[in-house]
Amino acid sequence: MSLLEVDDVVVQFGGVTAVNHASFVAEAGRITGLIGPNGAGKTTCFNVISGLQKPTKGKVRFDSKTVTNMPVHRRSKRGMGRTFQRLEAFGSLTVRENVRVALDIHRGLLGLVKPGAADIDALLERVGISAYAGERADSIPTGTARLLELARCLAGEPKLLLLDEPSSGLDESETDAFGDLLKDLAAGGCGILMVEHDMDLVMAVCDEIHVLDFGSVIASGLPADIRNDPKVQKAYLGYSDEAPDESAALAGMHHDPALHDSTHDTTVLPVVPDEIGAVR
Amino acid sequence: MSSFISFTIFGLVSGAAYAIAASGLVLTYTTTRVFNIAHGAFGMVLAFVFWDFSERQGLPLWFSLVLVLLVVAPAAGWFVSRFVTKGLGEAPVSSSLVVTVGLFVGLIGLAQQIWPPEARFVPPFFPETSFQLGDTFVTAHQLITILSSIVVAVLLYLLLNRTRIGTAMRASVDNPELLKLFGGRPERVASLSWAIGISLAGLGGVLLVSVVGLDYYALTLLVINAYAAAMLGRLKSLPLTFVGAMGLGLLTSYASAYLPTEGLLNSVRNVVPALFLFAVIIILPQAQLRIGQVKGIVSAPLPSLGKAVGWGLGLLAFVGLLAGTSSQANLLLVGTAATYAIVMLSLVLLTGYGGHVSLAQLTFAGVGALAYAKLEQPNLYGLVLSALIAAAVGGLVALPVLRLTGLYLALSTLAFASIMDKMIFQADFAFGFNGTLPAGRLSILGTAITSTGGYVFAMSVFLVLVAWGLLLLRRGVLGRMLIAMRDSPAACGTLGLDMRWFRVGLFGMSAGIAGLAGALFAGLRGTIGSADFQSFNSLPLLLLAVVFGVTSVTGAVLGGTGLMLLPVLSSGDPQLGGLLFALIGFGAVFAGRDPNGLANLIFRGGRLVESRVAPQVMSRLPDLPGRGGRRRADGDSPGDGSVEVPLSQLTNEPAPVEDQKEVGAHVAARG
Amino acid sequence: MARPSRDRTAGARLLAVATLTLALAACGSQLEPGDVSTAGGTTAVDGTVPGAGGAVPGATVPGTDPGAPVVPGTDPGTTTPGGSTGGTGATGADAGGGTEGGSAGTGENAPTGTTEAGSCEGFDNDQTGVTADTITIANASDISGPVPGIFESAQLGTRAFAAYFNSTEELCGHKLEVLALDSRADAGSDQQAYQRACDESFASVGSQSAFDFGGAGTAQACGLPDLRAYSLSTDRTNCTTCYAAYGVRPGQVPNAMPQYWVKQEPDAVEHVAMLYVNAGAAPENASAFRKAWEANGWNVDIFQGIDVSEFNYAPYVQQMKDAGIEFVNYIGPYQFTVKLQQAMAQQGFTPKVFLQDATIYDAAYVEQAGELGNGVYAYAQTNLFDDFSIAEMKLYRAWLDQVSPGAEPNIYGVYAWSAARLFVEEATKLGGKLTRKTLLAALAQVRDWTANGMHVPQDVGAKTTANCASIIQLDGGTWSKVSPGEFLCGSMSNLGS
Repeated sequence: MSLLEVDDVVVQFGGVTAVNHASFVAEAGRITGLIGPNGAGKTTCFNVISGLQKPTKGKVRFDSKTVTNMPVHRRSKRGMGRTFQRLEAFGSLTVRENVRVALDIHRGLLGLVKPGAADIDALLERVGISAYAGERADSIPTGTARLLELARCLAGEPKLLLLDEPSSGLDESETDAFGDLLKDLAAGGCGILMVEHDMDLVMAVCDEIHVLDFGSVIASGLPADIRNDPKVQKAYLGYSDEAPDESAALAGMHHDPALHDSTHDTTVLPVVPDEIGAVR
Repeated sequence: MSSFISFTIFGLVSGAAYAIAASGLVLTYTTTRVFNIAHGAFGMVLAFVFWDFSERQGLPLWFSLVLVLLVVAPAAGWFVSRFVTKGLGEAPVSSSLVVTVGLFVGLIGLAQQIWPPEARFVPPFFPETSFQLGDTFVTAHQLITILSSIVVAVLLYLLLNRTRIGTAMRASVDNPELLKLFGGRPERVASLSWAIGISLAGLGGVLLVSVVGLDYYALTLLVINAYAAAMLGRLKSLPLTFVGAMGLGLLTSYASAYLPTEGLLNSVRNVVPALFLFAVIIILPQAQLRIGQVKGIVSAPLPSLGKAVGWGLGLLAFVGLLAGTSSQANLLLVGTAATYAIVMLSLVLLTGYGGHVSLAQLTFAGVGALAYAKLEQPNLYGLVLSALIAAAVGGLVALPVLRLTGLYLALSTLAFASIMDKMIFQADFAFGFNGTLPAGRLSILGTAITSTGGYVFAMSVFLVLVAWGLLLLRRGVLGRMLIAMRDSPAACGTLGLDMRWFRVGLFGMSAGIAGLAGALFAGLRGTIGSADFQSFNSLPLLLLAVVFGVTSVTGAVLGGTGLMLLPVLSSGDPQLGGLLFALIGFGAVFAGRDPNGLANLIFRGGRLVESRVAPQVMSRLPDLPGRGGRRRADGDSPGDGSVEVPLSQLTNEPAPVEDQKEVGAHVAARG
Repeated sequence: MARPSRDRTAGARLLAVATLTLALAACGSQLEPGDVSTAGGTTAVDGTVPGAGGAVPGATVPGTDPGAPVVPGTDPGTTTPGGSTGGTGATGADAGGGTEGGSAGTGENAPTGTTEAGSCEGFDNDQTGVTADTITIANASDISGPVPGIFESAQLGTRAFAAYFNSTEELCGHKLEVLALDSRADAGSDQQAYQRACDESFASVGSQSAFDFGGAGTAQACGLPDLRAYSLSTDRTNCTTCYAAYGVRPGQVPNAMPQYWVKQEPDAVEHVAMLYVNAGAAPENASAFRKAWEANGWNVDIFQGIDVSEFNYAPYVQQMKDAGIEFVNYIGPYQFTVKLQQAMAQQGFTPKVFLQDATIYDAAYVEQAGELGNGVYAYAQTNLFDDFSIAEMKLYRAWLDQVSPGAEPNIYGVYAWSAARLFVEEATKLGGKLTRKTLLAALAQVRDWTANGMHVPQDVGAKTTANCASIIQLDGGTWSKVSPGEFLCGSMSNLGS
């Protein structure tokens, strides 16, 4: 039995279907990629799995138990951790405190007697952000904040990690280090389900890949198979008018985040709407 | 049977009015995620405008109507969406609540300022016309009200279900990103829905004004009933909102017809809407945690322990000085300020640290005062027990809302305040109808504090103790978790924190602090009644707390003083009252996004002085609280993380706007 | 502080108070239930906000042309007496025109009345609020607050009398000074105001506050004589140093009024509906009235409260129709009276009698009700404000115009003036023996006080409910007295409480 089973999940918002009868699995000790064009429903799937979004239809099974109606925190207690595409770091706490909160939550009352400073340091060290320990989480670079979210998850010693675009904001060498970290985690028995746009990373680390388009799974398989799947090609080519680079990227399995972002008609970085200014 | 039909018709008339008001509320909420507490206040102001056009200036009725509903109201809606509530939907719910409560109070003040109290009268439409239906007469005005609600329902249905933009509007409440996919211009959609929403508020106001009368409060508050109706549709579904509105109208009509006129059931009649709201909230399904909202509120700096102690003692010395020199009358004012300051400390915990909003904090103080007076134990035991009782009541209020989010919690406090006002406080076992209770002054360890000066000093001791307690808590495990919950409930959930009970505890603790303040106040006053804890006053209290800074102890102390001074100031010129209301309200509108308030300006000023003006001056002064900057400069790494980081310095960080755009591009390309 | 009360008509006042103070605030200020109940048959009893209760009669009263007879030097044109003045100026407060400021009375209407002045020997200038040439009296009334100016009339009435007194008289060489305090429609502020009154004045006179329980304990604790216009709360009534020109005792309801109706409309009183606003003291009052009315032979078929926030009165009218009601007694602010009457008219329901207390003896009511108001009855504990056959009423109107040109007379003003006169007369009698204690002792003896016929006899010292009232009827915008004689007087129902 798989660690995670998503079974025929449907999510509708008003009249819009975001996830359309999607079914896929993720295994313990393996890295599973969830890819697809923008708006394909990947993050919504994550929300359903982690409990932040109730599916209109369908089931989620985790660790051989149906968790479809289980509250978010209980899923976490059962060993599910996740990071967010739009950052959910505790902005007004320091990096170190972010992890400390996670440890406190994980240990409950035990945390009161056990300070766990060493554990925090170890976690920060492991994801490679020790240098930022004293900074406020809303003042660190995006990529670092994503690693912080990962460190927070790891504090809970999860069986399954849901990573939503974990590498965006990381440079090339950081991404490589990050890939190694993922493999390391998987080798330790942790299941990883990852939404990721960096195809190099996906192809390099994933054991299996599911492709989502229009809310449906259009392909599942080994990286090599996915690369050559015509349906996948078409899905990405679907909007090649606007983003020739993107389809090219898929074809050549090379992806440049900056170009990816430029698929929309607004300028990309570093634009911050005033009212979100404080955040990230 | 014929009278049953009559009651049904009357109920439908009320229901129609609720429906019009509620649908506007739902529309603005669905598209912008801003729950407009001030919806009724807009209806009230527009009714005044309508009066001004049609009665004062003598414009033709139809022309006034067109002007109000198609020009003034949409313009107001556009203005609000453009300059007041823009981006508020992404902000924490506490911000949007504070801003719209600010509008609420500000509009009442504005109306008082523009149209000073005076007898005004708006006649119903076609006053001479009515139709007989069996035994019942239906006036043309009532018919127009019902027809209007049907027209509004149909038009909104068509807009939301038969147009592309409408579909996006509907979807956007669940997933705001989708609005961007379809509408392309979210701002325009927001403006449109606010224009329509305020117009509907105006329609509701104009239809009701001839029956309710031109009154600043009556019209404004009537719409609170509409909240209950909107809640049935979970603030999303217009059809359910209409069902809720009609149901509520019928319920109130039948209640007035068939409920016994004596005993407890009689008073139930008056709180039907509030009970309806509670019931709806309880049956609402589990709410989903929001993700992707703005986080990382810049907090006021947390003072070091030394500073906190220094300033606390300084405050005590100051009050001690006052106690020795001021007249009794002025000491009563100081005591009142201390009471408000403690209540505001409870908001620092709840809103400043915890990110939740209570619209009934003064009611909790009332619970504490009631308990204190009833216990007849004017000593520490009675005081603590009173606070605990208030805390238990607070927990009880939060309990039904366990599964829901902050907005519903805030609204349930509103319903709670209304029920306390109209049922509980007035009951014989409480203050009694219009009644008062004697309350003795506190004695500590057998020593009674009888002099006003001594008592006020004792109050300020409690103020300082509570403040220290809060600062300590903020530094510890609980404090960190509170901040974490405020910054990202979603992350806390996925990290395994069961926030529901945590929130009940937080709410209870906050209510307990307010209850402590109420109990102390009862002792100060000697005689205490429900009139001292009017629920409406919780709103200016919340607003002043925010304006002065709800994230810091200093803000609470200043805010308490401000709230005490408010009536004193307006006493100089009675007409000033409206202006002050307007100032506070609109002040909060702008302060809502930065809950650190004026206190933070002081901190900044303090730092400036610290860096510019010679350090030798500083060496002679006691430490000031909240100069986080100095601590930092000293290399004393703040363990609490609440270093003040001005918004402006953060904006150069790259923003994760990619995801929105990503989604947009995909669908736009295909759609 | 002497602001003309122009833009604060009773209308706005009432409603606002009713809704804000009551509804919102749940406050219930006003009359303490018990008291009120007793206040039986009295005006402010209506149980709603006192402000509301009392109805500010006035503007339409013929003879109150405010523009005409003011004091030279003041510009009457600048103040518009409450939007609704119907004043015809027939009799006019001609008093104002005369002497240096107001008119002067003689005999019982002289500032000190006909009382014999006590010897001034031994007058102690070393008392709180007393100097060599002044005696300070405090007046703590609701001026600011949610309803600006709500009880300003009480303060004006007090100041008017002080001005009248000071124009010709002295109290053993002392002029009166009025320390104007604002109780801000808030119990805490009332307490604070009374703390100041304790410290800075000799006595407090003519005060009127919605939440007057606030300062009751304070006044008693410092021994301050507090001779109020009205006493609203039990705490205030029970305060041993507090008296009021308008007295009430819990559990007492006068019988004269209900008996009058039993005689006049023997059939209609068999089918009575009592409706009341569900706020303030109204519910308690209503049930006390009900007992008293029924004890006098009325048959109350419908007895129901209506919430302040109610705007749909039709269901209540429907009930009355179904029950064959012929006599409607409403207790609440006049705005709601108008709503009720509108609904009655819409539903084609016309009872034989529609009766309310003096709340509706108010120009704003007359204006708003329009034709609906025709034939409506009210019962009042003052004489008509435009009854200038009463010299004292004429004086009050003239001096009110002097201290605040254009201000409207109302029942609070009348009773505040009355309280001030009572203070002066008692103090004059005491002369050199005047102290807080002797004044209190003197006040305790006061019975049958009418302020020279301005209002029904009040047993101020006994703090009992007045047992008299008159029935007045509105017709064509004018109130006239329909009950015989000056007032209907009679026994009291003792309901206990």
